[in-house]
This record gives sequence, C-alpha cells and structure tokens, in this order.
Amino acid sequence: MRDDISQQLDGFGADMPAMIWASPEEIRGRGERRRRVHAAGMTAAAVVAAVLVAGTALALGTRPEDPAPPATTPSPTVSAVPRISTSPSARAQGLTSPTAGPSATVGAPFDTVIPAGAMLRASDVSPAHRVDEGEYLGETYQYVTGLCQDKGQWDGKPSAPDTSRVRESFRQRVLAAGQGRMHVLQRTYGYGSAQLAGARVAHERAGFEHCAVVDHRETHAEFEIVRTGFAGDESLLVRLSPDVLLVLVRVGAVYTNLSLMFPDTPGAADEALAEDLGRKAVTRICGATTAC
Amino acid sequence: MSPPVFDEFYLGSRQRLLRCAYAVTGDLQDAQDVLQEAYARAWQNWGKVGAYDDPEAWVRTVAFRIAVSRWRRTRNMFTAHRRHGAETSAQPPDENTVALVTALRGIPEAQRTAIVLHHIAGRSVAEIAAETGVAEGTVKARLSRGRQALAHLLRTETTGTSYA
Repeated sequence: MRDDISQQLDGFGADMPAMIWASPEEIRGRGERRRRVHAAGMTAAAVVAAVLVAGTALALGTRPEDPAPPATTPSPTVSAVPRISTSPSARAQGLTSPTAGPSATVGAPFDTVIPAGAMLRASDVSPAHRVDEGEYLGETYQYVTGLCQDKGQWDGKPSAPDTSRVRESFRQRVLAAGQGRMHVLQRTYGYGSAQLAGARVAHERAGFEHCAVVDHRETHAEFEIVRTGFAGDESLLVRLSPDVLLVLVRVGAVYTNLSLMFPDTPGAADEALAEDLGRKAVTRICGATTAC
Repeated sequence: MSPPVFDEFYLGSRQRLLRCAYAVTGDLQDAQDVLQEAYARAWQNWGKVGAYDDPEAWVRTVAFRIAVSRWRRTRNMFTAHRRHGAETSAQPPDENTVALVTALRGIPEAQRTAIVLHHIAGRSVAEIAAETGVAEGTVKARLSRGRQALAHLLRTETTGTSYA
C-alpha cells in the first residue's frame, strides 16, 4: 500500500504551472556563446589526450566546470554535495578530473607546459587549506563577462589568443578549507610567447573595464580594478562585487588567474592576501617553468 | 550537430526535468534557470551528449550540479542571467506542492537527491547508486531516512517502504 509520503511524491509536480521557456533557438544560441567564450580560455583542456599511467585512465574531454559525461552509460553522476568534488562517475570510469590532471599539453611547446609544481600549494594560502582534488563545477567570472557581451556592452576586443590557431596549455587547482571558508580557484595558461600571454591579459582587462557594471533583471555585478603592477610582468587585482577578488598575473608566456571566494563572509575579501597570493603564484611559476 | 534532434529533445524533456529541478532547488524560476543553462551546455557538447543513450540524465545531472554548486550558492545574484526572454508565468504551484518542496528543502541534500531521483525521476535504486557513485545500501538508507524526515516535516505517515 502506498503511504502518504509516497502518494505525495508520486503526485509531485502534477500541477506545475505552464512556463514560458526560451525557444530552442535561444538555448542553442547560448550553447554557441558558451563555446565561443570558453574557446578563449579553458577549452584547451578539452583537447587533453588520453594518458594511461599505471592502469589509470586519464581521458578528458570536458570543460572543467562541467561533469564528465558518461562515456558508455546513460546515467551520469548526480552530485549530492555542492561541488568542488570528484565526480563519482569519473571515479567509476577511471577518469581523473582536470583539477588533478596534467595540463593540456597537446600541441603545446615544451616550455609552456604547466607542471603541477607551477601551481599554488595549499600551504601558500593557509595551514588549514587543502588541494581539493575534485573538479570545479561552479561558474567563473567569465560567466559575467560573457553575459556582458551578450548584452552588447563589450565586443570581446581586444581578442584573446584564438586557441584553434595557437597553442595553449592549461591547469587548474582548487584550494579549500571547508564549507564557508575562503577558497581559491587558480587557472594557469601557458602560451607560445609572452606576446600571446599579454594579449590574453589585455582581453581580460578590457572585459573588466567594459563590464564594470552588469545589470540584468535582478542581477547586479560590478568589476573594479583596484590595483595593478604588484607581481610578475603584469598583474591586476580586481574586485568582483563584494565577496570575490580576482588576481591576474602574467609571467613571461604564462598567465594565471586566481579567484578568491569568500562565500560566507561578504566584505571580508582581503586585498593584501590576494596580492600576496599573486606574488606567491609568480614564485611557483618561476620555480617550475622557464617563464621567468 | 543536429538542431532538429536537439530541439525535439529539449521540447520533449524540459517539463519532465522541471519537476526534478524544482524539487531540488525549491524555486520554480531557479529550476527553470538551471535547466536552461544545462540544456545550453548540452548543446555546447551535443556531439557527445546527443550520442548518449539517455541525454536527459546528463542534463538532469548538470542542472543539479549547477543548482548546488558552491559558487552558484554564493553567487546567486547571477542566477537570473540565463533567463533571456524567458520568464515564468506568475501562477505558483498549489499549496501541497509548495509544502512538499519546503519539506524537501529541510532534509539533507544527499537524501533529497535520492528522493527526487527515485520518486520523481523514477530511477531505480541501482540506477541512483550508479549515478551518485555510492553503494545501493547507501541509497536505500538515504531514501529511508529521507522519507522519515519528510514525514516528520509534513506530519504524515510513512510505512517504512522497502526499496528493491
């Protein structure tokens, strides 16, 4: 016999109101835009080749913020935990997340490969922080600059290096210290030249300037460049609304960006800490690559 | 790439997935928002996703993840971005549905996900175990505890359903 709970759950949504949905064309348009936005950055990770190490398959084809879709099963992983965590489906299939994986080295010159040692260590942030080995599934600030382009506030110029034509390597890492504590998302890119890496920084900077204020319905986001020139060859410290700080640093042909997120402590974003991490990032890059 | 196939998939599955997304998010507009974002990502990767036996499961997973992602929680000011030209009708669900959603929001996320996948998405225990990467026994325990918690919150009876 079905009990009350079962009956209620069975009938759940039977009276869902009619919704006005985006048209299929609009949805496809968004997908196309996402593809363009990510082509400027992290999609280099999508060309990671399969690497077999000690029987562990590394076969990535996804962008870092999306779950690894099932290769053979129709049932992808449902994460019950607000994420930053390794996808169970990825574990089940022997996949390693981009966070923990090697940089996207396909076609990249040797001297622009991003080794793990070029990334910040957890101890660089605090004794309590740990490297989160899971994949980062959240949005990044490019979500906002992409929206800004959608709204016509910015034409995306100067353009980022076209990754379909130039080589780019990529690695990312999440450093976290538990729910509610500041966590750091670091994404590092290697290019074939300092000029190309500089073009990437110029592109990002233009985004912050053109998208200084983005309003869309109840949404309001602001970028403010608060400091420059504190680390590496080029650096920017950017405040994204009240509780996120962005640090962008270029060292030679290597470009890294840090997103410092203060989820439960709006207003606590620490600019001095952010700058310090930018300098530490430079130290790590210089110690592990030929960028300096 | 096949727009007609994708369009048919989108049009045919979105209302079904809305029930699940609504049960997880507890907010109808947010549910639609995360779903549309998930469909956009599906199109972005349609060469792969479209080849899966069950692309609907992929979209549901992505939508759930967007909904619960830490970033999205902390950056919920962005959640409305994706609703370009797509607003919901003003009619809210009836009070029973709202009460159930409220209760679902009151139970642990893992239990809620299991409940939604089993009772609303119609997935078997084995399928949920595969999707969530936990043992079937864990899924059963989550379902059982989740139902008890829901019953307590809704002040209704539960019979201790045995999950196959």
